[in-house]
Amino acid sequence: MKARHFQSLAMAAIIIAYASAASAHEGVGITGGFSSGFMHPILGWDHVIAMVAVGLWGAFLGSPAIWVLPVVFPLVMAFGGALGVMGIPIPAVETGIAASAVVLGAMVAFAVRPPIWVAAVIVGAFAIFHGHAHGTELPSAANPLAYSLGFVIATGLLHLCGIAFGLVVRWPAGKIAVQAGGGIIALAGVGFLTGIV
Amino acid sequence: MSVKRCSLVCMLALAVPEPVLAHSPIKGIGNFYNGLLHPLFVPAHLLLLIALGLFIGQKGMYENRAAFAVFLVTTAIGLIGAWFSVGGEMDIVLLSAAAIIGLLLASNLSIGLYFSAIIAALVGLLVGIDSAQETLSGTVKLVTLFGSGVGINLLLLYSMGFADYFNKKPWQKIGVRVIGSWVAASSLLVLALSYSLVSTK
Repeated sequence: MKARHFQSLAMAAIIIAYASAASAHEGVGITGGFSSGFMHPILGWDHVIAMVAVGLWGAFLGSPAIWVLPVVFPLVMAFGGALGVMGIPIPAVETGIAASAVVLGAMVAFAVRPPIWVAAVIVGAFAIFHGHAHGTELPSAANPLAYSLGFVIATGLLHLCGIAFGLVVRWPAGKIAVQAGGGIIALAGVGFLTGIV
Repeated sequence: MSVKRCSLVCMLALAVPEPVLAHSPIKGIGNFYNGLLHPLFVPAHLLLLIALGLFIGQKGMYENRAAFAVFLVTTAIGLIGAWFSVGGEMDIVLLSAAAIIGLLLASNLSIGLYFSAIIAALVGLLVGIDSAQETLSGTVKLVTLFGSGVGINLLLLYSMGFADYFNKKPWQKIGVRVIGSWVAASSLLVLALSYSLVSTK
């Protein structure tokens, strides 16, 4: 009887030993702000495919587009974000984000190679929509600076995914794979536009 | 004590676990290290110092050694100001500086050695003054501010070395410029937020 009592106590103690602090309001401070900002672009599939398409198109176009687009994008996105923060509305933000996937995906799929300034203008125009969507969330963030840093870095890393994939374009089979990737992104964009996805 | 009872006591001791916080802010690490880590825990300082370090390193660490020397001196002056708590709320100034330096870094603009040194001097002064520890006094405050001085200068040196090393590598050199655009974008967004909060008051 005594042994069973001891075993029960021991089991209870072991279970308690696995307890950790309850974090009802985890999203606070610098860490909370950064993590919520970092996850914002990653958890939205429309953002993800459009950002990958930017990197993919940059890699497809080669130098200097491969680095101009990822440098220009965050800066123009900040402008869109500022409009969102200040409550200045932009019509059809979600449609613009979905359209960015369609247009950028199609550019890659059809191997369109415009001059660098045209590519920068197209990407920059769509960056305003993406920035506006992120910026609208900024005032409610736990730490606005950490939030903005989080979503800017996440966006840059998504570009990097596209660039990394786009680098296979130097091989003939890789070029087909990249164009197919662009086609899939464009189709997904159509899905977002029509509400199917 | 029997073995069973001893085991029970050990298990109950395990039943009060505490999370391990190796770099928590920051009990038990001492005042010097609290000061040393201060620039890492203030996002505006972190952004500004990384942007400045990368910018100076991008232009060549050796060529811009005067900028670092000036930074060292003005940081010390700023920390003396912090001792007397001369600074007020400076987040907007710090973020404006981070945005400007981030844009210079992203555009790889050459502004000359003198302007680089002037920018480094201003940043050193601002960050130093903004590192005030109002709740502390006496030797504790002195040691903490000294730690902050070391931390601020080490962070700048690391960033400078990072950019200088990557100057010789084509891809990494672009990465440094991308970081500049990230710093500028984040700072501009928070400046916009500050502006919108002020204008709605």
